[in-house]
Amino acid sequence: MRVLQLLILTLAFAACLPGCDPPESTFVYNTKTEELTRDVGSAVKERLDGDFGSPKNSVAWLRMPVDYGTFKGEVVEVDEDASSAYQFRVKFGSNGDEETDGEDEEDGQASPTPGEMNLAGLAIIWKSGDYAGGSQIDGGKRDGEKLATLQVAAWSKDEENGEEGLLSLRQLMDPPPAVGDTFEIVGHKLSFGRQLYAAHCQHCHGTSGDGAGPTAEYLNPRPRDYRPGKFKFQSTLKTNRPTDGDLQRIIKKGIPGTYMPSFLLLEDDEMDSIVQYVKWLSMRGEYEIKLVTQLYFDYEKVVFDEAVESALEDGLEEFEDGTRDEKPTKRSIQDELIETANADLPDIAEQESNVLKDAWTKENMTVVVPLVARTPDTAESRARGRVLYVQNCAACHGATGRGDGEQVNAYMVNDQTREKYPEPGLFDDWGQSIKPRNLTRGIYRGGRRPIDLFRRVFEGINGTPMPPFKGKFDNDKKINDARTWDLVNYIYHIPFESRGKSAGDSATKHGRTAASTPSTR
Amino acid sequence: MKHVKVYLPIAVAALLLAGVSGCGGGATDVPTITVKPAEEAASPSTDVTPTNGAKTPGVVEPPPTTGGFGTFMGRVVIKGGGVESRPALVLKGKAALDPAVCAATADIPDQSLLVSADGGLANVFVFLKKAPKNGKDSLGTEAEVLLLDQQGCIFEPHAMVVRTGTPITVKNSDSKPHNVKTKPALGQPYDKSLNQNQTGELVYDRPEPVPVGVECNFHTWMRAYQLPLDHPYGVITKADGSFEIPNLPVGTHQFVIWHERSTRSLFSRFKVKIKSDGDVVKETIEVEAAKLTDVGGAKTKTIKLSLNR
Repeated sequence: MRVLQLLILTLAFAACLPGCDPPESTFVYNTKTEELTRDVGSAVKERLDGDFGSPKNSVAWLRMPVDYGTFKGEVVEVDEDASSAYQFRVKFGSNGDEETDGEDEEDGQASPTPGEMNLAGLAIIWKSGDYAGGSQIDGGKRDGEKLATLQVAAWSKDEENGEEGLLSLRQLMDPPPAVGDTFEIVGHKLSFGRQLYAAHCQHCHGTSGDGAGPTAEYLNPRPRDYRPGKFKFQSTLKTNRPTDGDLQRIIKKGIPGTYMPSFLLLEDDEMDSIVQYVKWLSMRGEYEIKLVTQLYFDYEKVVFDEAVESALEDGLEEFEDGTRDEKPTKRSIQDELIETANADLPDIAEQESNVLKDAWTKENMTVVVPLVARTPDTAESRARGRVLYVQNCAACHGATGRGDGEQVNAYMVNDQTREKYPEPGLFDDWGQSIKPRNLTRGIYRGGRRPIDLFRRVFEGINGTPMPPFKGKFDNDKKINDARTWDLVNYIYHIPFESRGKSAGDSATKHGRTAASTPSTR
Repeated sequence: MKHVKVYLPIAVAALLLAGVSGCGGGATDVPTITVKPAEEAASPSTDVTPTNGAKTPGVVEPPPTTGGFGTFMGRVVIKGGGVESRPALVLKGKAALDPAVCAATADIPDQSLLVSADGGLANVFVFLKKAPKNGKDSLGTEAEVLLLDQQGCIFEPHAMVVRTGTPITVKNSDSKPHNVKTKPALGQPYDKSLNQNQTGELVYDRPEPVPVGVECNFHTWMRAYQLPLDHPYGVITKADGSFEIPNLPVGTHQFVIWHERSTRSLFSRFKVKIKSDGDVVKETIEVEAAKLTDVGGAKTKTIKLSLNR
């Protein structure tokens, strides 16, 4: 009996052990990746992991326009007797590599230094000396590619000695670096961003940025899925990506009327790191989607199986005709087709990563700036805006601005499946039900500055049925912008309108200040 | 027995303690960073065009081309004949939005399944995914004027094949606002709102693997399909289901045959062998009617009752 109870206790203890390991953070793959035939699917995954890594072992792919964070430094002292070294004394700061001509020094500041920051796990790449270009670093090669695999183990800054200190590495350098060798420590923003993302963002937006964290299913609207590379509230053109400033503003101010809170208390460097990490996640997600899209229509499981069948028939015919030497089998045909996919994948990856790079490059973005200053908020301006509103906006937002236009009863078609949604109403690109904004509440998700409203009307909202009205109000660009301001003036006035009267009436009779009691509903 | 009674609570308490101290901390893990250079030194190919010169899937070893050209022509028909025509999308005078303009004088037909009297299927896309080697660029793209009109809340034409870089003029001929919105799988999306007689220019920057849906956010029933290609080997079938693709170089080609009412392509690798110069391959491509109903087919209707409407 006693033995039995002890046994149970031991078993219970053993069962407890795996539960005590911290859960491993992993990126999930897209459902379409999983729908590819197995070998092609794993080739896509392998490439994705090689180019972006995992949450715990992240890859700073320098092709992507992400600011991973760089500290430049120089070796100042190495133990002379040692034939190899784990640690040596270094100095951070602007001296060391003059050849960069300050191109990486943004805002006129000197090259940043790590201070007391924890540098553990960050990559170190050598810019001069024997190790420059990673030429002597062994291991960590993927298909012959050289990866800079050295990582920092610890950094302890001298208390009195400015930016000097002792740098320890996780790997042994044999032979040790020479005094004067310059290096860069890469990835502190990626690492810091990942840690902050895990603490603040992940439970809603998910580890992979797929908007499917554990909290997500209880939220309406759902947290954003960054993977398609679509962001709703941006200052740039609808086809562009958002700027860093746009992402920062959303994180700082939150999104009113949703569960996205304001993170105003984050420090500037924390904010910057999170923004870079979110961009990196979005690039990873879109990269995967694009790779799979190029392969999906040939290598989806069902299509692939059909192709194998028909290729096998043809192959057997050819074998009988004598145009084929070996008798094909199902396995050999499968291998042939998969080999074709594997041969195509590097070129597809090259192409799609360059498309992504261009899309996220700041120089390729156009920020929407009105050509004329805001029209004074007069009764006449609002009345003109009201006319535009009825013509263009009322179909969705309703004649009185309550978000109850006729479109709420229309049936939309799901673009992915080309099927009608079973329920009436509007849906966004993520397939989620979405309501036209109720404008009587005065809550504007993309921000309540006049320029925010102008941009929402002018460029529409990415990923939603809200279309851009750029150039629609007049063929003359300046007049069009002035009309847009009229509409903005009217939208600001909607919460103060008396119900049942036209804008012109209420504006002239009461004026905005007199009627400033929030609408009674 | 007595000993066990004493030890058990202690052991359980110890276990609980072990659990408390051993768990947690997962979220604060510091990641390890590896650097991957911007350019892959090992990759000799700097060619941005994908799969250029790569073997087309399924082709064993194409017979050497002799430089001649042939034609692939035929019809796409419904197997076993008639399919019931689709009910109108919007009945006359019943449009939810802008009834004065949309379906004002006649029903708006469902153009997603157009079958001729003898079973020919219209608006089927027949195309090669990639340009064949030794192809002939036969189309004078400059002379082409492509127009996507919106009249009576219908896109006209419903289906179109277009070359990348060739502009399509989008136009609103109605007195109510429309917008033209595309969401291509690979290329740049397009979205433009239009007043009456305003025009816009829609250009596809990349070829797409399947036709792109075009929609209007004002009138949700409006739909058209456009396929951008970077070569001339793509057509749509005419009203009687017939098509013709000339200038195919001698060799084996694999056509994609796609219709909007099927979730997958009707044929993803339809094999056509051009044997010699001047060869004309005639095919009657039969499509099972069942394949064309799996999109938007009969579904259980959900009726939502609400007091807020």
